[in-house]
Amino acid sequence: MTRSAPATRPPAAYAETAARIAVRAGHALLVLWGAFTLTFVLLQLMPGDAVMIRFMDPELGLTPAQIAAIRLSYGTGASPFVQYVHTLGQMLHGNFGYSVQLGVPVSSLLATTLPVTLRLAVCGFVAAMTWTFAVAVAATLLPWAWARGLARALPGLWGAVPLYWSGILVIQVVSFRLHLIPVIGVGPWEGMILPALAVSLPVAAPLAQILLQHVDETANLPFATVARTKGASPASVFWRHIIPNAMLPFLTMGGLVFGELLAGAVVTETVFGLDGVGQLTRQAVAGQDVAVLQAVVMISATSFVTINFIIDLLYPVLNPTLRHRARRPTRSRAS
Amino acid sequence: MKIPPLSQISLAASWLLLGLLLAMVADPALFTRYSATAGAAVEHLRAPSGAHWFGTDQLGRDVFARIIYGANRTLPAALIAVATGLLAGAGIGALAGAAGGRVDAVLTGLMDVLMSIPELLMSLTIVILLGFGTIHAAIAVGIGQIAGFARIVRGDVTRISAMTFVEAARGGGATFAGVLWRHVLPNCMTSLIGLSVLRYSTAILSIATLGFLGYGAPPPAPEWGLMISEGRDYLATAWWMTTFPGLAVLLVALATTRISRTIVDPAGKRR
Amino acid sequence: MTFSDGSRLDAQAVALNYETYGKGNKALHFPVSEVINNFDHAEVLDPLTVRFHFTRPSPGFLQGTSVIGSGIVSPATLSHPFDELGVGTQIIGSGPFVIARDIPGKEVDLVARRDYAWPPASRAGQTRAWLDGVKILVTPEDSIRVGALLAGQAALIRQVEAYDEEQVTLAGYRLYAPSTRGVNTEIAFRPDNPLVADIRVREALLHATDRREIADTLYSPNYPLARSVLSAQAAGFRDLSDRLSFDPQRAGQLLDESGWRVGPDGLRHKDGTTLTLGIHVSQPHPQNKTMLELIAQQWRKVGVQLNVMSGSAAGIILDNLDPLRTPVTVSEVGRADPDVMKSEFFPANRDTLLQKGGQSAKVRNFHDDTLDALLLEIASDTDPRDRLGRLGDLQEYIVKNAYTIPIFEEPQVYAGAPGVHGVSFEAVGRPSFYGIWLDRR
Repeated sequence: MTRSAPATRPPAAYAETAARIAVRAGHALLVLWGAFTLTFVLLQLMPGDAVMIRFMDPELGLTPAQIAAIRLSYGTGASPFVQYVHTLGQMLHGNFGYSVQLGVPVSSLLATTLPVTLRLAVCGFVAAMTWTFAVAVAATLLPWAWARGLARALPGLWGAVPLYWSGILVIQVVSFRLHLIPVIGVGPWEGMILPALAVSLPVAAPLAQILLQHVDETANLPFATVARTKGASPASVFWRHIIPNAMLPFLTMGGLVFGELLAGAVVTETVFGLDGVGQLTRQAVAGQDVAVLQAVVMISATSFVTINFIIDLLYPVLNPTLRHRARRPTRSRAS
Repeated sequence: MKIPPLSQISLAASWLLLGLLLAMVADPALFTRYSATAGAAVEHLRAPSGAHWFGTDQLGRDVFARIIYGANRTLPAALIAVATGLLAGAGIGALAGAAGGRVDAVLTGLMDVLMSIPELLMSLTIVILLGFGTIHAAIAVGIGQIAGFARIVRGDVTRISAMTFVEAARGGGATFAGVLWRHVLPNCMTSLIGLSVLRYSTAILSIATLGFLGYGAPPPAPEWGLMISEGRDYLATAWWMTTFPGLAVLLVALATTRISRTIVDPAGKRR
Repeated sequence: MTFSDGSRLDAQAVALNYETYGKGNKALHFPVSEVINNFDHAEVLDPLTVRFHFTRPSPGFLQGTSVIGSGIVSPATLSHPFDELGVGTQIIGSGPFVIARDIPGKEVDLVARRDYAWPPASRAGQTRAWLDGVKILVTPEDSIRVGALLAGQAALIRQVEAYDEEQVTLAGYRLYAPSTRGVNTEIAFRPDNPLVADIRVREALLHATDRREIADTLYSPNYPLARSVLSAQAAGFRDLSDRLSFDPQRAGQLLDESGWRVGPDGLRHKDGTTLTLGIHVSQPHPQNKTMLELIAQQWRKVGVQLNVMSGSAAGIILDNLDPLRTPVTVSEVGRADPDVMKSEFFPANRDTLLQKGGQSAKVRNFHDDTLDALLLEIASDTDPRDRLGRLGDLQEYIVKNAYTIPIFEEPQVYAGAPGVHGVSFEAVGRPSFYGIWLDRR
C-alpha cells in the first residue's frame, strides 16, 4: 500500500499533474458561474419580488406609484439582463449587496449566521463519522452474527427517523425533563451538542450505507482473500486493506454530505432555534430576498466546488482500481 | 449458510406491511369508518382509545384515519420523487460515464451546478415556480435528487468500465450500448437500488419537510409529514399526534430497506 | 432629557419626527404613518413647545402619538435612509433601555440607561429601570418556547397558544393576556367578487359560522367571543352579539333565497357555478390555519366549500389584492382609538374589503361611499361623545351589511416565571420592561 514517491516521477508527470489541476480549477470556476446563472434565472422567474413582499404590506398603505419608486431605488426595476451583469460584477468584487427584506447588508447577515452553521456542520460531521466507523467495525468484526446483523440494520433506522420529530423529542427529554443542557441562550459550543447529535444520524445514514457496501465489495476482492490466507487477523485485514480501498466512494459521499451541511441544516436550525445559514435561507426564500439567496448559493457552491476539487486531486491516490491493476479484478458479486 | 429465524420474521413482517400499505393506497375506506378531513370538534385531542385507536387531533379528526388516507398521498408522491430522480439521474449519469470526453465534461458540469445549489433552496424555489401541492413538492424533491443519482451512476459506470472484463468485452467487438446494457448497468444495480431505497425514505421526509415549511399540500389534506409538523406543537399535551405518523414514516422506511436488502443480497451472505 | 446618543430631546427634534411621520420622506423612503391623519406641519414655538397644524380636524392624533410606532427618535436617526433602520441599534430613542445588539429576526439585547431620569407620571419616583438588561430571543417553535420557560431557561415568553395555557398554569407559572383593543380577528368579505356580492350570501355565511365551537375547541377564556367588529374593551364598542348568532337553518334559507341550491354533491350551485371560496392563512394570528380548517368544516355543512390555500409570500400578497382569488380574508388590527376602523377599512389604508380606487387595481365595481364617509367623519370629529356615537353606528353598519364575520377578541398571551414581578403592558398588549423586577429568593 505504498504511494509512489514523487521523486521517482519523470518530469512529464509533473506537467501532466499541473495541467490536470488547471483543468479542474477551470471546471470549478465554470460550475460557480453556472450556479450563479441558474439561481438568477430561477429567482427571476418567481412571481413578485422582495420589494412587493416588504412594502406592499397593507399596514404601510403605500400607493402603487410609491412602490414603483422604491423598486427603482433598489435597482430591481431595470431589465433582467442589466441586473444580471450588475449583480455578477458586484459579486466578483465580493459585494453581496443589500437585503431588501431585513434592511441590512447581506455581508453582515452572513457574518452572524455563517459561524453558527460552520460549527454545526463540523460537530455534526465529526459525530456522523464516529457513528459510521463504529457501525462498519461492528458489522464486520463483531464475533456474533446477530450483532453484526443488528449493526447492519442501524443505518436504515437512522435514515428513517424524521428529523424534527427526533429533534423535538430530544429537546423535550434532555433539556426540559432532565434539565441537562439548556437550548436557548447558551454558549456557542454547548448549544451545539443536541443539534449536532440530531443532525448526525441522518448524515451518518448514507455514509454508513455506502461504506458498508464498499467494505463488502472489497472484502470479496482477491487481494483481501490473499491477505487472509496469509494469516492476517480480520481486524488487520479490515483496517489495512479493506478500509483504504473503500475510501474513494466513501469520501466522495462524505464531501457531498459535508457540502450539504454547510448550506445550512434548515430543519435542525428551525427545530433548535439556531440562527444559521439554513434559517436565513428559509426566510430569504419566503421573502424572495434575491441578494441573500444569491449569496447563500455562492457560498454553498464555493464550498462544494472546493471540496470536490480536493477529492478530485486525491482521486488517483485513492482509486483502488488504479492501485490493484496488477491483480486481476473480478466481478464484485461473484458467487 | 443457516439463516437466523429473526431475519425471516422481519422480512415477512416487511412484506406484510408493504401489502397492507398497498391496500390502504388502493382503498382507504376498507380500513376505517372515519373521515380523514372532517372531525367532530367536540372530541378533539382525545387520547387513544377503543373508538379512536390513535386518538384524535386538534379538530377531533381520527389520527388513524388520517394516517391511512395519508398513505394514499405520501407514498405515491415519494415514488414520483424517486422515479424523477432515478430516471433522469441514472440516464444522465450512465451517458456521462459511458460516453466520456466532452459529453461527460458538460454533463458532469451541469450536475455539479445542480449539486452545488443547496437541495432545499432548490426545492423551495421549484415549488414556488410550479405552485404549491404534494405532486409539485414531489417533483421538486425528485429534481433535487437527480444529481445524486447521476453522480453515483457515473462513478460506478466509470469504475466498472475500467475493469478488465468490460474492456475484454469491448475488445471482443461488442457495441458500446450493448456493453453498457449487458455488463455495466447490471453491475451498478447494487448501489443504485441501495440508493433508491434510501432515497425513498428521504423523499418521504423531504416532502414532509416541504409540508412542514408550508410548501406542501394545503390543509386539511392528511399528509404524514404535515401531521408530524402540525402535531409537534401539541407534543407536550397530545403525544399521539406526532408519535403515530412518525412511527408510520419510520416503519415504511425500515420495511423498504429490509426488502431491498434481500433484493441486493438474496442469499443473505453478508450477514 | 436626552437621547441615548447624547443629543437633546427638544421641540426641534419632536417637530422633525412628526414632519416625517405625518408626511413621510420620499428621498429616504420613510412612509406616512397610518396613525396620523390630516397632518399639515409642525411649528416650533419655544424649546419645549410645538404646535401642530392640520388640514382638517384630526381627533385621533393625540392617541396616535402614544402608539409604539410613534416613538420620538433622535434627529440623527431620521437622517438615515429608512432601509438602514432595519437594525435596532441604528434607532436612537430616549427611553430607559438602549438596544445594545440586534441580530435581525433572532435576538435583541437591551441594556438599561443608567442616566435615565424622566419616567412617565404613572411611575413617578423611579429613575433607571430595575433590570440591568433584557435579552430577547426569537424562538419560533412553540414547544421550545414553553419548554424553555418551564425549565427555567427563560423568564418571560410571548405567544402561549391556548393548548399550552393549562400546562403553564399547572406548573405554577403566571399567564398574562392583555387585549389588543382593536378590530377583532374576523373573516372579511370582498364584495367585488360576484360570489359574495349578494348580502344574503354573506349573511348566510355569518350564521353558518359556529363561533362558540371555534372558541371552545381551539381557544381559551383568554380569547373572548367577539360581540362586535370592535373589541369589547375598546372605547365606543357597541354590543351586537344578537346579530352574530349561529343559525345554520337560517343560513340555508338565505342561500336558497339567493338562488344557491344544494346539488347531489352536497355543494351549492347556481347557473353552473359552485359556491367555492378561497382564503389564505394569516400566519401572525394564533392557530389561524386550524381555525380556517374548522370554519371550512362548518361551512361545508351548509353546502359551501372553503378552500384554505397555501402559496408563496408574494403569491399570497397578490392573491389577497385580487377579490376573485380571495373572496374572503382574515384580518385584525390592534389600536386603542376609534381611528382603528379607518386603518382597517379605508381604501387608502388597509382596505380590507378591497374597494375600487383603493389598494388593488383588480377591483372592478365595489365601493361603499356611506362606509367611507363614516370612516372619514370619525377621523375628523372633534367631539368625543359624538365621535364614539358615530363609531357605534359604523359597527352596526358593517354588521348589518355582513361585511365581516367577527370571531374573537385577540389577546397577546404571555407567560412569566414565578419570580418575575411588575410586568405591565401598553394599550395593545406589548410588554413594558421598565417596572419589572426579579425575586430570586
